[in-house]
Amino acid sequence: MIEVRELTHDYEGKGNPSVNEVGFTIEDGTIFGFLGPSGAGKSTTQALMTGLLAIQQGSVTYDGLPLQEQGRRFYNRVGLSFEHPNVFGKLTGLENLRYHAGLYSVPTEDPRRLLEMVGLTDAAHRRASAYSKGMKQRLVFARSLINRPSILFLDEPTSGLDPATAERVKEIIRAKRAEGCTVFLTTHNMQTADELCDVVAFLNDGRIVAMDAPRELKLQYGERSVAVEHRTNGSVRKEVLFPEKSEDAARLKALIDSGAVETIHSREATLEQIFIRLTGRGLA
Amino acid sequence: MRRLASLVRQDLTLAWRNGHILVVLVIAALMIALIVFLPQEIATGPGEYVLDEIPGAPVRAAVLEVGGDASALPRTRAEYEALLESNPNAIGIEIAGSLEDPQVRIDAQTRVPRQTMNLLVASVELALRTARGEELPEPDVEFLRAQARVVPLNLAGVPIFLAFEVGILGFLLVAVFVFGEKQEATIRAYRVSPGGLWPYIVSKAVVFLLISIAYGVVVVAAGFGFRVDWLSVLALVVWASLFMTIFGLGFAAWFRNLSHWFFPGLAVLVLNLLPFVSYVYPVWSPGWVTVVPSYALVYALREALFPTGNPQLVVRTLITGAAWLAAAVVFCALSVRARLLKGA
Ligand SMILES: Nc1ncnc2c1ncn2[C@@H]1O[C@H](COP(=O)(O)OP(=O)(O)OP(=O)(O)O)[C@@H](O)[C@H]1O
Ligand SMILES: [Mg+2]
Repeated sequence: MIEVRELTHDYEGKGNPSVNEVGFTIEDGTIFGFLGPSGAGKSTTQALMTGLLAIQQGSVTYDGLPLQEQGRRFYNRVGLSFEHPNVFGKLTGLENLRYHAGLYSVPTEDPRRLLEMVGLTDAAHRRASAYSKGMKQRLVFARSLINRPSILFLDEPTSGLDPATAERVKEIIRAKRAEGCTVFLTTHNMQTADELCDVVAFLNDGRIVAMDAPRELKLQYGERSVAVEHRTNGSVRKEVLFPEKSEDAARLKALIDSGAVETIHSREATLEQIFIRLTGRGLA
Repeated sequence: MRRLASLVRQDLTLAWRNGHILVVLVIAALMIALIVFLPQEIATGPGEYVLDEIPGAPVRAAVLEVGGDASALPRTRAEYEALLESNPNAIGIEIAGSLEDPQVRIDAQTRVPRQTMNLLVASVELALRTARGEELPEPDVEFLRAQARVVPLNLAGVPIFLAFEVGILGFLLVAVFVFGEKQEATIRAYRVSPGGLWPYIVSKAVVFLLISIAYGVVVVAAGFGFRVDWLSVLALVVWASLFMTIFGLGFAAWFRNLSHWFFPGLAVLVLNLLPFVSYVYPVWSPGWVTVVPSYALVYALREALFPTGNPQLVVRTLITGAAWLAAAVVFCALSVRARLLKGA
């Protein structure tokens, strides 16, 4: 079990923290989705949880033991993929995996098998510097699995991948969960989160604004949403409302009565709609 | 051990693909070319020409008799003037009159120091006395130390090339390595692996050690063959490589990239170079230069390659070197931990 308590991080120390009193619990063998727009503090949180950044305030514990007391052996059971693919350009894909595997003191996966899983078999002997961005990303993803981790941190593992490859990566993530692996998944792709995650947390401006199972969130807000564009004080504003919630129904009626409404679109409720409803901003 | 072996293999592969090993090979080839093609001594033309116009040229005959260089003793004035014409730095000495009453004229084409002039006058004096058939006392020469083998010109630089190249390679290339890892951010992946501090440092040290030893063996063998005090030479090369690589790694840890590192790094390299200036111009060796580790190194290497019966110099250098190395290791570990592998 991973427990994060009141995590706060201020890069510049100017009282404008990038991560602000963030707390959550991740049960073993579940996928925890960390969602939010760019700059929300997702990668910062992952860096704090993995020791890449020193914790300024708050705590991160694994099975009750604080991160700072875990020691280096902790990393034998952790896998990490980075949002900016970081591989040795001068080494081939296979060498990147093989040498990385050499760092662990636990049984490791066969690098060739991992390359095959992410569709890089043909590129195994090419230098990573000649890989496309998506290929590098798949290589980094494969590398995160090399030590058969029981805790997996994935920062945007599917961004920039074509749908088929993204689907394959998602399959692998599900398979890891089936093996009992705990996954911390950072993304701003609501679709991915909805499909994969047992629990999602919405992060906005460094704070968690909602956290629950995707299903629960949708139940809470209703099955349908409407996007309303209305002209107020001369400018067009867009609002997302959930008519099954009484306060939203009232707001919708008021908008219609005011005659300022320009367009109304009704659509199925998605995590994205809920996020906009909560924060007033999109995820792009 | 498995971890270290894997890291060493990785770093060796990277050193090869980054062209580091190629650079070392090219430098080694240059050094070998220098050793092979540089003559053992540079023959320079005579500095003085003597024109003996005394009838019968008795001075010329006397000088030839004691082994003088015939090319410095023109027969005719025309020859003499042509020689001076073609050697603008040479000094001409004309002797005329008779043996009993010689007239000596010195033609200096450039400014000649007073001492040289005095020496010239004394030599002419000596030549005249020899020509008159006077008995000259042989001075007793006593050597205070065992005489060292005369160092051939083409090998004289080897201690410098060895000390300097090995140091520069370690210091510079390890920095290039570290900044590569920073730029590619692979160092972040290492930080969240169980790799840890020591394998990281030791692996880099081992790789540059292997390169340095290969370089040292090739260059020394090219110049001296295999009958060399290998134990001393290799011990010194190993020390130089370890010290400069480990210090260089700790030093590089404090900079963001190669351009931030450049001027401070260059300053260190120049400082490391100054003892070689002292080595070539021993007149210039202020106390502080003798403290720079490469100072003792280059003299110890000379002792190892051209023994003068002073082997303590090598041992002493290695003992002081061990202290320097220990300090470098501490500095490196603290720097790498604080700056590269935060929290490792
Ligand atoms: N090294 C740093 N120094 C100063 N500020 C930083 C640093 N890294 C991130 N920040 C700031 O912290 C905030 C959160 O950044 P973070 O990278 O955690 O966002 P994110 O949610 O991962 O965004 P994205 O979806 O774009 O990856 C941003 O405002 C960013 O400008
Ligand atoms: Mg991010």
